[in-house]
Amino acid sequence: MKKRLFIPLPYLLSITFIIVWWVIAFNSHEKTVPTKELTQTCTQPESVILSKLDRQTIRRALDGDLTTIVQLLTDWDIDARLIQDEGVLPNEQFCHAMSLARQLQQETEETSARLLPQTFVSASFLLALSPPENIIALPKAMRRHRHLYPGDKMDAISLDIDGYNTEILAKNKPDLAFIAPYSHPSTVQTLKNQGIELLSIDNISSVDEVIESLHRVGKAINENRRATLLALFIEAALNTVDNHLSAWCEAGNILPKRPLYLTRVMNFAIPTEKTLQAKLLHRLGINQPNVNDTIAWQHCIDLETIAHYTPDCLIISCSDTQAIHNLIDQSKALKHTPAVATRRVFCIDEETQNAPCQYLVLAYFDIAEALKMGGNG
Amino acid sequence: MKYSLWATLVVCSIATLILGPTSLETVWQGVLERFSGTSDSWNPLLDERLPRLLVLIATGASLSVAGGVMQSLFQNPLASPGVLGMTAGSSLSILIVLITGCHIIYPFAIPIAAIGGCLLTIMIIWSLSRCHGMYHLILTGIALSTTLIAIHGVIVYALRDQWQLMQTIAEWEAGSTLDRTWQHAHMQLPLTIIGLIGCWRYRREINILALGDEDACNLGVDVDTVRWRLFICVALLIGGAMAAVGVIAFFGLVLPHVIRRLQGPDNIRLIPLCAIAGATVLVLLDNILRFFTIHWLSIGNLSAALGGIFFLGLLVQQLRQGATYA
Repeated sequence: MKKRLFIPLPYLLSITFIIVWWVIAFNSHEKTVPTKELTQTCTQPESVILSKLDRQTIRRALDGDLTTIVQLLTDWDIDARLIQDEGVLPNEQFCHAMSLARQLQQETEETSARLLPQTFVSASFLLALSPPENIIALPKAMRRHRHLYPGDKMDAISLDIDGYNTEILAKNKPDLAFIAPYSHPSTVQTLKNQGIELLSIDNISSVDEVIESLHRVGKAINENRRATLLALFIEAALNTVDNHLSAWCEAGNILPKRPLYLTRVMNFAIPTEKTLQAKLLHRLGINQPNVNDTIAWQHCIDLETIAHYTPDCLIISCSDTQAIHNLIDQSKALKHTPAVATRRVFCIDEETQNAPCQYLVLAYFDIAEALKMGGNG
Repeated sequence: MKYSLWATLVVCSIATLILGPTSLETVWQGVLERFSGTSDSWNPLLDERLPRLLVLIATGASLSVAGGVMQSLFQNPLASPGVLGMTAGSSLSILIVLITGCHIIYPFAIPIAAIGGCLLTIMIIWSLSRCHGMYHLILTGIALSTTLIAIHGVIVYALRDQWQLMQTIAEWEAGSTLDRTWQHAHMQLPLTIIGLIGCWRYRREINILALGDEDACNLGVDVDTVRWRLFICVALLIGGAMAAVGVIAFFGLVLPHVIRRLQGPDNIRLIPLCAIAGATVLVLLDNILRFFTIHWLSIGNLSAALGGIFFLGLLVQQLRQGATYA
């Protein structure tokens, strides 16, 4: 019996040592309880001169709604003339856009090619350019992002693209499949074997590439005019965001001097110049540190580097606002940065930021709104 | 060798502490203010670099010693904690935590899962094979490891559409020393201390176990107890390291093997050397990544790549010399 009591002693001592260490370490660790909401929702401040920029309305237009496109283009053109004495687009392009919109509004939709988009980008373009009944299936994961892609159109397409329903997809006789350079070779071969014509959409990392890909998709499905209109709308929308930002600054507001745009999955990271985000940030005049890289898409960044940069506004692209909220609140490293000290930390939707399609307009809009919120207006 | 390793470790540690974006003057001023009690604000040296250094030292020492002990116990130079499924058990439990998102609410869920997964695996193996000798123990370990890896694969495949989760898993599996704080250090250090003390305590018994179970019994070693305790020590070392840094592949295999070749199989010398060498190499690798700002590689990638190349070189050299690998 004595021996039995003696044997577990090393185990008991070890467990006690570990538990005591943890209890002392973690109980003495100061827990910061958030006292007030750190992250803020981006909202559009009231404007006395310009039309209101509403995210949902812009999104509806990007979904391909012609009436909204016409209405927004008209409003934005007036806004632009009020600010800078010239339209939101060069005159010729604006007239072309309005002419295309009128033509398309008067036409009845015709059933055209049967389409199979393998990627989010091509599916996103097709949902805007073509009626849902022409689209055979969608990438499965796309349906989860109803806050970005049009839910009603996606609901009208019942099939998902999945390795297990190749035969069902083939039975629907697609005429054209949209693939990407990273598509699985065996999937591509299967589509070829089924006699389906393939169109590869390259990786997109700039606004020009989005427009170019949009035109390619439009041409391939014989929806050139619709694609051109959407491309012109994207250009007009980006210009409008710029115009609103300049008008906001001219009204006496000041943008943050050292804003920092970060992404967050396991670690904080900065998008490199290879990314679409970097181009959007550059257009907004945000100069990020350490972004020159031809290989990586992002650079991980530690808290010390963030703190050393002393940002006065943090814009964080993330999927979980609450997690970022807790992290920033508990971070001693970031506590004294001007951004956190003055509560200028803004979380923006990661899905929107990572969508290299027409919804880049919303990504741009979100960053611009965060910048305004981070300014001292 | 021991002294040169110590010297390298000291130099690398100093480099870890002084290199960073914040100027040394600012850092030092913050340290003085902290110790004089005039400020409790965050300091890069005390709150970022020092805990990172401790985590690196603890992780390097843990992985290397764990590998060395496993190689001695199994009398096999290719043995590592992965053989008994410890790494797989730890990985799977962490994967489950990442999927459920527990770590967002409870940050310590990952370390606890890592240690729990490791210990649970070794307990299952032990309970299934303890009465059937070392051969069955290894076979059970390989079988369980394969099963756990398969479950891991099934889960990852089922969730492949959730790219955010996939990115999180990929980042964790690549190993990272970014933003290691005192939380990581406190979580890992007691486990490492107990694990290392345990391995050191049984260094002579490990030597005797190399003679075979029967001889070890005749020499008065309680084979089952010693082996079980060493497995627990290895589980603590591996669990702590995986929780703190992620997967650092090849580290527990190559480094102890090289040291064994250079210094011989005596565990009285081998275990401390493994600890120092592991700590030194991991701190050195972290310094290389940071100094040359190599953003496209993680510390896990680098250690695996260098370890693999080094191991291959070693094998080729042996083949050329016509030596048998043992």
